Amino acid sequence: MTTSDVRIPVHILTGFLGSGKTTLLREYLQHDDTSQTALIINEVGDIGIDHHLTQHLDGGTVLLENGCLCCQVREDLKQTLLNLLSNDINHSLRQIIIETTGLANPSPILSTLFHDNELASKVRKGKIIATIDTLESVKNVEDITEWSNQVSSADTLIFTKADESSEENCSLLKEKCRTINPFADHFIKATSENTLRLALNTPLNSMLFLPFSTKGTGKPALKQTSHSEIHTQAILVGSVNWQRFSIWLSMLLYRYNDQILRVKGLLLDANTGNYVLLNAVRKVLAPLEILDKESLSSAKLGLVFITRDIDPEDITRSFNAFEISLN
Amino acid sequence: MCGLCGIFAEPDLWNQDPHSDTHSLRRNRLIQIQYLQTILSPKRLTIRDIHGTNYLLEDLKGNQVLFSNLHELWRSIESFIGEALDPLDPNLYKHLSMELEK
Repeated sequence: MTTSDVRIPVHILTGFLGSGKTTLLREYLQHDDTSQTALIINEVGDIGIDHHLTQHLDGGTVLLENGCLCCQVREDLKQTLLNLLSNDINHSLRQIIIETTGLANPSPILSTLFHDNELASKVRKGKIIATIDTLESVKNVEDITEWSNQVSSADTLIFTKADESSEENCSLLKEKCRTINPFADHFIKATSENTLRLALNTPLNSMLFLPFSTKGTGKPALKQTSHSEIHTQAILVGSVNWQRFSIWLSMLLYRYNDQILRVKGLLLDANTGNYVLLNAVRKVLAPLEILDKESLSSAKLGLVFITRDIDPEDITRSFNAFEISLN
Repeated sequence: MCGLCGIFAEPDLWNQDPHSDTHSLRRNRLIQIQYLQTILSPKRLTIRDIHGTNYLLEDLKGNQVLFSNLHELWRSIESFIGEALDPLDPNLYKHLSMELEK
């Protein structure tokens, strides 16, 4: 995405059952001028919004014939988005928010946005925001697959009900979330401010994708954190042979598509000298972004994997065995 | 089509040297095939270029499949050998270590 990108951002609001998504959305709609906002509710909505475009989806995910797994497109969502855009005769629409069900995995939505050519020319991914219920303990949520999927997919986490919860529990949850997804910004929902607006308006800091200290150069080094069965693994690497990297990552995502929750990276393509930003949620890879070299003076190059039930060392061993790095 | 699968299916312009001519694009394609062949050889599978537009995967029993992107390749391999190729397989590491040194 560039500053000249005129495509309409599609934000995804997700979060586990009862974690306060609807409350957050209602607050946003009540206190903000949202006349240029379209809302898509992925379940039977209970918000009365007369002046907003609302759509209800009930379809499933389809696999395109001859398409790849990463090209799953939700036809119902595609049609809903296209209808919204075609109804926007005055071009007044500035953003679209999709509220998912509490059990949703956001990746098919992303796949629809990224891989449908018609949509990709008109809309772009906005933010993925996940609500975290701070009244729940880490013990209660850490084994719920949907919860960890939502946390790992998010760009921003909003911790809800903090005024009813203990500070200690909030800290433990934040720590847990940081372990699962070190990339996400954290916000505490406060009654005195419009937290969703704040979260939507805060720019993403895509440069800070490596939350680990780096020491030395040369051979790829690694740092890892782990909690329960979810691991975060960083591979520090500069320039890569992109052909080899593509083959390796594609093979990895195909074989371990349910166990790789997130891949994010900034790599230097040795062939062209391009700096490439890579961002995958589950098996859905966002369109690659070529970044301006001048904006990267302090950025660290490397890859981060968030995985479930994979020995994180294996990822690094495999990366090295495929001789991808040209450091 | 994603940026990884699509590397074979479509010209991936950002990933090509802007000064690339037809010959160097062809050369890159053959280098990709050679690398893939190295990965596939322990499974006794071969991969060939077809007219610079598609690829052909073959096994020793004579089974053949044309493919145009990486996902189709992994899926075809799975149907040929009964399981998905495992990039985390230590035996593959050993094989790559020997073959890529050559």
